Amino acid sequence: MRKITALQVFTLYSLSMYTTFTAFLINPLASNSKYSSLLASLIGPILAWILIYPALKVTKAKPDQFIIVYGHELVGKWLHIICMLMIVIVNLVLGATTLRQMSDFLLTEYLIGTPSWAVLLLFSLTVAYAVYSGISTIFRASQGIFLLSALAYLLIPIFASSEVNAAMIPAFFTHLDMKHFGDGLYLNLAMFGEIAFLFLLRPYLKTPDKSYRSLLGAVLFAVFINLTHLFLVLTSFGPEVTSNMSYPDLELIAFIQTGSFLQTGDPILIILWLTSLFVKICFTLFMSAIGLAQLVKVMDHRPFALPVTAFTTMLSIILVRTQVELNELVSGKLPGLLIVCEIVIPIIYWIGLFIRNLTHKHKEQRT
Amino acid sequence: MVWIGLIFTVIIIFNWFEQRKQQADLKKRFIVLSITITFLILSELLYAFKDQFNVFQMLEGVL
Repeated sequence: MRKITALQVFTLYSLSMYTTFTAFLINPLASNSKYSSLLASLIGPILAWILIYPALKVTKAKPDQFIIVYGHELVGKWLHIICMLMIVIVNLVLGATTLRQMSDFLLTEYLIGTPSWAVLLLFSLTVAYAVYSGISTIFRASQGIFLLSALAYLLIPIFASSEVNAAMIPAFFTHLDMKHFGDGLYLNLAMFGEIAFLFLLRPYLKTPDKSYRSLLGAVLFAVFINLTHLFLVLTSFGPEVTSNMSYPDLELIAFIQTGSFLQTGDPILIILWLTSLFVKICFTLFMSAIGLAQLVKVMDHRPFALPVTAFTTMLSIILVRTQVELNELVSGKLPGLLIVCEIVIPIIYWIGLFIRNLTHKHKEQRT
Repeated sequence: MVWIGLIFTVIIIFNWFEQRKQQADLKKRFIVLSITITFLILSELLYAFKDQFNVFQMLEGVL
């Protein structure tokens, strides 16, 4: 059962966090948070790491069991079912949103004119296979991609540093605004709060206590990459132009001249995004599949891997009608829903655990 | 809509025989079947009404 190492936790989470951020979050951040986005992207992730502490505490109560199995002892049967169903649904919507973002990106930038169903079908087949194979396959995939991906993400800012407009740097201190900062914090909190879902899989972790520290490592590493990319994009284009770009990081990389052999670096970024998003989508769908399996007491996630993937693929097509709706969903409604599932639900369980421990102590004192 | 139905039919048949191969009990096989059919119905409904109603609008209404 205990297959996932702390290093694998570090690689999967840092990979999914910096890829999602650089690919899809820079645009809403520049639009909502302007110059305050840099500070929000520094504080938000660390705050998310602190706020997932209740999730860690709750799963510590029975380290060898899944919380989906014993959670009803803490909060009662019906509340437990509602909370867990919410987590499953949110993971389905999150998977569908990421899949839609990825397919939109491919269809507008790389595979222009290709029917969306063809892209989604091919991608979903690989996702279904990985989800069916299980958690260790997904974590191993992230471990395999990580080194190349991290190296590329660390090197890109060095190549793009010539585009920096140094005159813009003071604006990060003089244009700080509390409302903008709050908007940025909200987006960052929702995205980085996804680390809370890991504790639903605690029995799979080889060293669960070490994993909380490796999550901090993943958060800090992702924050470093995110901040360097965000800083470069904002100083090169400014927040107004950035908010009008679909993929600001890609635009920045398109400026890098790597030499005659490869004219620009954007094909490399496309490969990196695809592989990293693959891992993220697989993990999200695995969470849904195993959550559903344990809720209905089947325990084996494999029979649910294919229906969950098929449903998510279909959901990604009809999730929103336009790119504007997708942007509004990603920067408005979805983060709120995510924060409820990542932070509020573990706190409810934590309170349940606290009350249960108190009543146990009372009973022991009486006897 | 036909394609959604076809994909889910293939999934149902695959899962049924795979579970039979693993000698899973009948109750669990029916649970998996019922959840897959729920997903199929949801998919068909969401697809049929995609121009009038979608997840984005649902979240707008709920939150």
